Parts: sequence; C-alpha cells; structure tokens
Amino acid sequence: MTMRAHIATVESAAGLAGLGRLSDQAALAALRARTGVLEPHDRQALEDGRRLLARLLEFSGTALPPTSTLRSMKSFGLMDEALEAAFDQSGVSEDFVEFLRSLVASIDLMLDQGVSEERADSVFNFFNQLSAVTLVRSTEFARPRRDLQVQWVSKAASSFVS
Amino acid sequence: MGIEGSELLRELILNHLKRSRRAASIGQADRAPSVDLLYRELIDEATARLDDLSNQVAKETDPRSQQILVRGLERLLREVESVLPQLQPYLDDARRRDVAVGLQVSLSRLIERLLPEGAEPIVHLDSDYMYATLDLRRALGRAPNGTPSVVFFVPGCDPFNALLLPILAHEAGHTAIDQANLGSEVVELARQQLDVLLATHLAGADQQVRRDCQVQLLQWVDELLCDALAVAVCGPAFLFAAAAFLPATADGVMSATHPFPSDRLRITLNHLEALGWNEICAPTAAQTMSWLRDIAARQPTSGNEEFLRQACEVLEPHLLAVATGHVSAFLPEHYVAVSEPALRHLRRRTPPCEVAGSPLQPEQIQLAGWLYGFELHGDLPKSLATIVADEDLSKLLMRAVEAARIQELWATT
Repeated sequence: MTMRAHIATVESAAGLAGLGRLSDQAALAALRARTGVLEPHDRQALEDGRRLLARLLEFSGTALPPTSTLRSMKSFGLMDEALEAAFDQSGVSEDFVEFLRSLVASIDLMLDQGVSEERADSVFNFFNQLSAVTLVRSTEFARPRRDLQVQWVSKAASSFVS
Repeated sequence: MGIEGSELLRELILNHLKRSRRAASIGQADRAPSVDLLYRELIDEATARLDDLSNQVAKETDPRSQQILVRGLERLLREVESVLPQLQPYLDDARRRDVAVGLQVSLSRLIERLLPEGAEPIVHLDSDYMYATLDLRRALGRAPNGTPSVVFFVPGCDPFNALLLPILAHEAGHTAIDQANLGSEVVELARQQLDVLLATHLAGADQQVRRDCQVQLLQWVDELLCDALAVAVCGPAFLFAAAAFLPATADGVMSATHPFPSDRLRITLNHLEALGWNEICAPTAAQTMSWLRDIAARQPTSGNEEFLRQACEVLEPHLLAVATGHVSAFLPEHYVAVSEPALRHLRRRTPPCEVAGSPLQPEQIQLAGWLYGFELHGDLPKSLATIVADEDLSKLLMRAVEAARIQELWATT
C-alpha cells in the first residue's frame, strides 16, 4: 500500500466507523421515538445526526462554507458518497438536498414535540441504510481486494512499457 | 443472526484485542509515548464498547433494534481489524534509534515554530518517494489528549536529504492549520471576493458540482497556506526544494487537492519578494529564479480552472499575512550576518554550525546550503536536481544542524 493510500485508509477507516456508529445510534433513537420516550443518549444521537446533515447542507449553496466544516468531516468524499448511497437506497423521489432538509426538519420535530410515524420511519430508514452502507465500506477497508491491487500494479507497469 | 451471531462476533473481536494488546506490550515507546498511550486507549475503548454492545444485544427484545446492535458488533470487528493494525508500524517507528540527529533537530525546530500544541515526532521511512505528516489523533477523529503524535513520512530511499527538508515545513503546515484553524482565517479575510466569484461561477451548477468545487477550493486554500507557512519558516530554501521536488515543470491535469505547481511557485516567488529575499538570492540564483518566474505563466484551459486560479489570486495577499501572523518569519536580516561565514565553512567543507560563537538555526544552514549549491553547481535550472543529489553537501548540512544543536545545549548547561 502506498503512503497516501495508507493515510487515507487510517482516516477513512476511522471516519467510516464514526459515521457508522452515529447512524446506528440515530437509527435506534428513531425507533424509540416511535414507541416511547427518548433517553438523553437518544437525543444526543439525533442531535449528532442532525449536525452532520446540516454540515453537508452548507455545501449546497454558493457561499463558501467555513474550512472548519470540511475539517470536521474527515474523509468528506467518503461521507458524501455514503450519504448519497443511503439516500439512493431510501427510494424517495425528492431531490437529495430537499430530502436532507426534510430529515433535518423531522429530527427537529422529534427532539421538540414528537413526530408522526411516517416521519419517524423516514429518519429510521435513512440512518438504517447509512449504517448498512458504512459497514460494507468498512469491510472493504479492513479486507482490501487483492485483485484490485494487482490490476493497479499491472496498469502502472504497462505504462512504463508502452 | 441473533444472540448466537453476536457471541461469535464477540469472540472474534476478543481475539483481535488480545493480539493488539500483545503488540502494545512488546516495548515501551520512550521517544513518543503518546502513540503508545493512543494505541492502548483505542484498545480499552474497543473493549468497553464490546461489553456495552453485548449487554444491549442480550437485553434487547425488538428484532429491528437487535439487528442494528449486532451490526454494531460487526462494525467494531472491522474497526479493530483495520484501525489497530494500521497503527502498529508507528509503535515500531517510535522506538527507532537510527534516525539522523540532524533530522530530529530540524523536526523539533519546525514543531517549535509551527505547532502551537507541539508534537511528539515519529519518523516513518516510507517506500513512497514522498513527504507527508499525519497527526494520528486527529486522523482518527479523536479529541486532543496531551501532546499530539505526529508521523513525519520521509522517503526511505533518501531519508536524510537536508536540501529537501523544507518540504517537511510545508507538510507540518497541514498540522499547524489543524491546530490553529488557520484556513478559516484566510477564507474569512477573502470571503467577500470569494463568495462573489463562487456565486458567478456556480450559478446554475447542480448540487454535486457545487459541493465538489467548494471542497476543491478549500483544499487548495490549505495547500497554498502550507506553502506560505514554509516560506515564512524556511525562506528561499523552500522555493528551491519545491521546484526540485514537485517538480517545477509538473503542470498536467488539474488536481482535486493541489493547485498547479507553476501557480504555487509563482505565488511563492511573490511571497519571497514581499519579504525582501530577492537581493539575497540574486548573486547566486538569479537565473534560476527568473526561469521559475517565466514558466509560471499558464493559460487556463477550462471554466473550473479559470475560477480556481482567480480564487488563488484573491487569496494570495491573505496567505502570507496569515502565515506571518502565525509564525515569526525567517527574514533576510536573520541571514545576512551569517551568510558569508556560513558559505566560507561550506567552501572549506566544514559544517557551518556557528558564527561568532552563536549556533546557527536549521533554516539558516539550509539556505546557506542551497546558495552554496548554486555556487558549486552553477546558476541553472538543472542545478536544482544536481544540488538535491549532492550527498556530500547534504551530509555536511545535517552534521552542521547536529553540531549547532550540541553547541546550543552546551551553552545552556
């Protein structure tokens, strides 16, 4: 593995694990919101999930977000990709940004006064998908496919020959 | 999967944690104890999370919640499989005894000048021909706890090249930006102009293009700021090292993370001029600097490139202001008095470690080395390569840094 790949792996593996844990906790909290009272740790998980979505929304306008926003999202590309994949698998017809906005609004309601089952389900579905997607990617980092590495090496080698 | 699956996962995680504990207890990292501390902290946290998740799975009655909790165990397994082994090489690096003292002293000087939180440096000799830094705690998304462990990657095939050490100043700049939030300072100073540029450029662009463009610009800000910090710390030695290492001619496809080398070198030349370095370099390197300025005139080829390069122009004056606000700059007046005596030492092939009884600093020694290199190899662009490859000169400079440090310690005892 090259050094750049190694640095990216350390950051990505840690970033994905963090995002995965967050989505697990937020999904569990959304389930509890449907059936009972939110515990303090559930509220914290939903607030963390909301913060993540709000940070991503900062990149949807034309004003440059603060660099701290990008810095707070280690492996931004990977997170962006995971969130988009979870959105795709949620099967909703809205635009991605609109969908994120509606999730933020649902979480706000959930934290404030409670929400309809339908809204709670959409929050649960999204974080449940995100949890599954991040686990698949984490597995790829933990067990990188040898055939892909071999392909890369042979491509690089052939560029010297041709 | 249920309880049985969770029990299997628990045992697998315990196996990994046992192996990781063994690796942690092989030896104590006396040179960078913070990396040992971090590693043990990760093991302890994983153990606590394992117990917590196992208890929750056992108590949970709702099948959907149980499924998420079991997934949490699988995630923990992947985490201990991937993150802990990635850190093990640094435990070994922290115990190395074969790192040149000159390199260690140069790193300490960079840390002292650039990093407000300090750092315990870990030198990693890498198979890539590349320099980099990695703040382990930040890379793992963890809150600060004591002095940060920062890995300094150096090319294993040429680990102690004194002429290229200014590249590590650029790399340490990334950690400085993290520690002091310097990128935000630059963006805030240029915000009005940048937002006007962005609004024009991104009008009508879709969300993905907007995100990509904004992320790219923020990454370019970091790179340009690291260059400015390296200029402030190393002076013209950074220009020469960057021109040799990038190299100056490497303008190809636009990078998502780095501005074009020609733009970086042009901005670096402008910073040096603003700090008053041109006269110092002119006698020995005027032609090379003039050539670097000539090649730094690239025509934009796409709309995105034009926008990003306009943004670089907007950022340029703020980069040096933020860099020199963060670090007390290495200026011509810090070099003029030592220049001739240092060059005399180098011409005699003795290490330029002190002038008039005062030890020289690594940045003074590096610059004298480069300017002597041009004297020896000629004021030509190709000399950037031959100077970097001059192993005798590099060894002499490393020795000088080492001897200067010994003298400094001697004077304080």
